[in-house]
Amino acid sequence: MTGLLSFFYFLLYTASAAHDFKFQTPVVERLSNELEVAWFEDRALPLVDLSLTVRSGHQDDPKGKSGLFELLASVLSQDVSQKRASADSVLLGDLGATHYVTSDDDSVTIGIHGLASDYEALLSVFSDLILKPIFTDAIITQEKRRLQTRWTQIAASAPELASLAYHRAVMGGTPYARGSISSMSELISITLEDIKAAYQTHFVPANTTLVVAGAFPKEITRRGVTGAFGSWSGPPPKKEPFTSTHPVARLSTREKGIFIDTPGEPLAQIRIGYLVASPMLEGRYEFLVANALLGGGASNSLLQALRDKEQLAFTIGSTLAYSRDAGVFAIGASTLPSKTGALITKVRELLRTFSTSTQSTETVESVKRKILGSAPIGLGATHLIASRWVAGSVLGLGPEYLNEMAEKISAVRPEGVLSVFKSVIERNRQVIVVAGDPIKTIPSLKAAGIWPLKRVKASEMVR
Amino acid sequence: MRAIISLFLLLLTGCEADEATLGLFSQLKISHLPNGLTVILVEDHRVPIVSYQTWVRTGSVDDPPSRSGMAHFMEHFMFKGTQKFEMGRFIQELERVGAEVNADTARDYTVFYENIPQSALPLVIELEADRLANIKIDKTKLALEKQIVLEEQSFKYQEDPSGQAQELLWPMAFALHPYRMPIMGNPSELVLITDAELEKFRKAHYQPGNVTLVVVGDFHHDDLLKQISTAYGSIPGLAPPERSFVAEPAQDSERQYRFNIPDVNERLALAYHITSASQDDSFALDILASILFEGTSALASRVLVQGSEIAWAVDGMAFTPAYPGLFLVTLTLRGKGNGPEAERIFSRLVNGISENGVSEKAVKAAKKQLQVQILDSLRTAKGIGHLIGTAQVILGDARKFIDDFKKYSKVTPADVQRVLRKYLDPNNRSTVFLLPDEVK
Repeated sequence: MTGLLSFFYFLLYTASAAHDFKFQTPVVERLSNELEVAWFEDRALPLVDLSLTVRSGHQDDPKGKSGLFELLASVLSQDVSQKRASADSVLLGDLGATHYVTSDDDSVTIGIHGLASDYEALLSVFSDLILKPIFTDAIITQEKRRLQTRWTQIAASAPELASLAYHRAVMGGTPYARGSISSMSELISITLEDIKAAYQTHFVPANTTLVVAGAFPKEITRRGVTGAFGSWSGPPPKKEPFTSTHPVARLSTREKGIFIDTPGEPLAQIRIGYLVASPMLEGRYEFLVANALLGGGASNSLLQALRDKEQLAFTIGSTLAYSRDAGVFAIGASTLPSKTGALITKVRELLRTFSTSTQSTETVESVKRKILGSAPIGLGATHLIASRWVAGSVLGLGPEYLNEMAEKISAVRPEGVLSVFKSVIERNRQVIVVAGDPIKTIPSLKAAGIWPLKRVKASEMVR
Repeated sequence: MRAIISLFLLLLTGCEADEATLGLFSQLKISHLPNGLTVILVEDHRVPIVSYQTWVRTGSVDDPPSRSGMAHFMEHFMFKGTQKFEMGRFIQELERVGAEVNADTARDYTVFYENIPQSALPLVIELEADRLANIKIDKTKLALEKQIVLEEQSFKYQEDPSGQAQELLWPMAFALHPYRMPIMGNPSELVLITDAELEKFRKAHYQPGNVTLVVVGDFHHDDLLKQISTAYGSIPGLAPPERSFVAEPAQDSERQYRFNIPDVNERLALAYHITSASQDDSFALDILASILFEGTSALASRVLVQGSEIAWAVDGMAFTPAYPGLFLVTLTLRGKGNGPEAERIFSRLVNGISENGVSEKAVKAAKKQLQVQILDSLRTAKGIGHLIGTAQVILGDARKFIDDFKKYSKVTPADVQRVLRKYLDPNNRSTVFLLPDEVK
């Protein structure tokens, strides 16, 4: 999941007459080896950011090897330049630079950030990280242990357990069902050869975008990039996505959702929502507005109705996040175990009302103004714009999408919001996940008729 | 904007610069209203947004005796509404225009900020001036708000065990100074706060004489200053409340404590008494912290994580607030029962630097890291405002941090060794071993 929780920030601010603000768009070119390079020049500060995004992610883990791309990212995140034999090699630390590696369902991104005056040294270290990674059994074993520890920690966190179960349930039957790691046994089974094979298959120029942002010296940079990456080669990967459903998410016809036992937890965690269409399909702007209406911001409808007025929730809001081929809409809440059933009942009522009543024009216009006004705040610096641009590119959105969306959002009408929302809930099964103390929470669910749910232990979620 | 950056770089690389030509003084405009309100404005026309920040020179250090948590509680109450804008409306009005709204209480200050589209500036001036002048301490809301704060406290362990490890160090390290009290307060004292006490606190601290507005973004200075003067000018101001604390006696022997916390990992947290932000040793301490904890070649990480593999992660910082602070170290440990060994390994690392010093290369790298961090904070209007506001409330003058960067550039390996020997002494240390709850 690209985790575009702030998706509604990717919009042009419709400025007052005094301004005509547009987000910077890059100069894009393609090298002869098909590597796409996007240049975001910004001389305001003497900083430079280099990032490489590979358009393969968790959904490309081979069958039986879920966790491979997560592990690959984890291995790459080590400063492998420390391990090189040469005493002359420049360490990132010497440059005061930072680096990061992230992975999601559709991509892996490696980035480096430092002073513009060190550009050539940064490019040299960066190209080494990409083109000459060091994969050893020792590093892979170490990173597997790190990921296992991380997963152990998830078992102790009710909010993370609820979110993990929700993702698995809502994405069941799609290529995204396995998430970043489906099971520890699959992660442990990944070998050095698997890692090398994935790297060789997917880390090829035709499958990647290089972004250079900041105060880079133009001609030196162009020569440097061509010199560093010009001879990189490899055929585009053949992708074979397959659908699956995680065992935890396989429900009987009677089971209304999933209940995760988290004994002793003072609050119950709730996730309710639906699978939605991919960002490439019609209706995505209408759903953006719908999400903002329901649960975006600190004064959202859900919060006002269910926390402030009825005092049923401690926290509540909604999120909308897209991967390339699917999206997830989720209402997340925390509450006292004894109020869980009543809260879920009210949320479902609210969703039903929302899907049968047209919002007023005034309400929709107000939300649109909020979305449009927040755009430049979330993207108030070039490196942020560059990052969002490439994330949109991975989703299949066009190069001008940041500057097209104001018009698209402005065109949204209340009837369109209703139509799209209704379509989503009619076509897709509602998913309910609760993580809570079973002794205190289950009676509340039963009393509200939200039972049976499939009961799972926390340990099953991270097995 | 470019002038500010050029200045920073010149100073950090040790080049001399004539103060009179410093670009910052033409960019950073400081005004004082007759009622004592300080207004610092920085124009930045890169993006049509504004970061509007209200800095109150009041933090947990100002909590009255036996009423810890008062400052944090007051921060919460600033969102409870006035006669003109009833509760909830403050945030609703701002969110309607797409603003980001938040607040934070620290040990020495409280800051409220809004990041807004430029067109929303008149609205935010009106809202902020109104709540500074007219916030009501409503007795009927007191009980509910205490409940919210207590719940916020009790869930904090779950969300941030590492941060909680650091919080536990302060009451252990400080015997007398108010820094020993948690920012959110002791629950037993929080529940005792009355509306009369809170109102008294508000009158003394939340008034123009104790407040600095820092506004960075897309506006024109003269117009904005006029608007602010009109909105805030009639609010009565007082002298800033006096601060007078019992000096913390020097620690002369190590302190060790064990706690159980709801976490799956064992953690080790260390604290050494150090100096305050205004003292010159703070610069060498920052360089030391950078060498030990920052970046991919951080020394502590190489020894404790990659080398001995006794820890999953190690983090630390030289926390130099308005009064003498702490050098903090936190380790997330592998396995069970490794706290004492981890402490020994860290002590050996410290002793090694004490005997052999640090290299010129390491100091140079640390200075570069600091350069990058400072420049990063200048990437956004909010970051610029935060840098200025912090200097204003901690050092008393936003301009002082210009001199501070000159001092960073002058730190030598000998300085780093000296401060390590002076402060990272076991007799000056408090150690907390955090063990997972057995019951889960």
